[in-house]
Amino acid sequence: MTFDEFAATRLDAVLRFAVVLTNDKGLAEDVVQEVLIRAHQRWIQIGAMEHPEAYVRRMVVNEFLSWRRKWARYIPQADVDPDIRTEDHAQTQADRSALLAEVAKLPRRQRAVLVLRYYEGLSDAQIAEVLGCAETTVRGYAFRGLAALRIELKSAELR
Amino acid sequence: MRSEDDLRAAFTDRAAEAPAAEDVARAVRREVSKPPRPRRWLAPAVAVAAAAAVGVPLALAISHSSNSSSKKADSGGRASSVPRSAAGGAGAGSANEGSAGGASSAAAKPRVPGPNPGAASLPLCSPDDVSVSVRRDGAAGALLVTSRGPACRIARVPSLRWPSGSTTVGTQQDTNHDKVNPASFGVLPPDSTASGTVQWTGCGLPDGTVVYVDWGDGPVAVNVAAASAPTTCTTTPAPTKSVLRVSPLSGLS
Repeated sequence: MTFDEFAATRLDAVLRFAVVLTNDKGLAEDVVQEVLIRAHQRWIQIGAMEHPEAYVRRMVVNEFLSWRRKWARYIPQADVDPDIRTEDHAQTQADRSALLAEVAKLPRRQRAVLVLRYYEGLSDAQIAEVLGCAETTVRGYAFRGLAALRIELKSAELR
Repeated sequence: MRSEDDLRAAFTDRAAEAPAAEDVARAVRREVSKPPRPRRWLAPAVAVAAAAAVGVPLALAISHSSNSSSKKADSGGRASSVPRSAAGGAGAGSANEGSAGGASSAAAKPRVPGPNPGAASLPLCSPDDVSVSVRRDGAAGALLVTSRGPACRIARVPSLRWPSGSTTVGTQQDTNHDKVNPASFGVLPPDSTASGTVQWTGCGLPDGTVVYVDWGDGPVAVNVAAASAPTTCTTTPAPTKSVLRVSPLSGLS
């Protein structure tokens, strides 16, 4: 797969993942652009992989997790004050916005675990591979993140 | 309490806000195709390095040169005494040569010291350094140049001509004789003889005739000595309308 083919077919998915991960459209754009510039320099190796998208997604996660200095100016802000109650027809949207605002306040690794599990649908083993940690660590991150968000767990593995 | 489905739905809603992939791809291509950023620190760094590379050796060389000059100045008295005595020795030698040759002008000639002087650096053979003779044996003749002193230089093929004002003027026809000829350039070693063949037209060289020989140090008058009977000539003096030719000398190193 060439770089142009990747950009034409897979970049949308990568960008959506980045937006969910960073909870910021501008930051997601910057992170993905930075990652793709680096990926372009050695696309011969990346393009030859079986799943180049997975590798790029991993690069995005690592870039997001290492944002301590580089992306420090980006402080995720809640789009909606969770304390404000809206009318019924907008209640669902408001609840989701409030939930995302709380997600944005989670530590980065917890947030990354939740996004990888509930948006990308990865297993704990795959998440552990992406983050470079053990599965138990992934479960710990997920448990603490979900607890902070007051989310009732349905998965038996986390009970 | 919220459910995991709420979280999935929230993420899905947020993903819908993703920027257009085309914009990002265009930005990436523009960034990738940019030329590398100029390294503004590079030019000053190169300038400093170049200045150091040139300046430091130059300063060291100047410093070393000034030190050497001052050392030479300090030991000037001792150093000057050595060449003065050497010059005295050379002058004595030249004086001896002058007495042997019957002239003292050789003492004023510059001599190039050194065990292996190059041919071009040797002085020209002066009349005091050599003895020159022209001998005639029948229809042939020979020019002999014999060293009487140190090695000296023969600059060119010698030219032979009659004395100016004589009734008959024989001129060199070989134009190479009027300029330095690299083929005949050579060094006359000490106590050796170089010879060249002399040819002439007409009546030739009667015994006692004066000819001028020039090998680069000016004309030298030489009396022709005949080893055999002179050529019969119908006119007096004999060498009427004759032309002298001399071959390049052999015996030079």
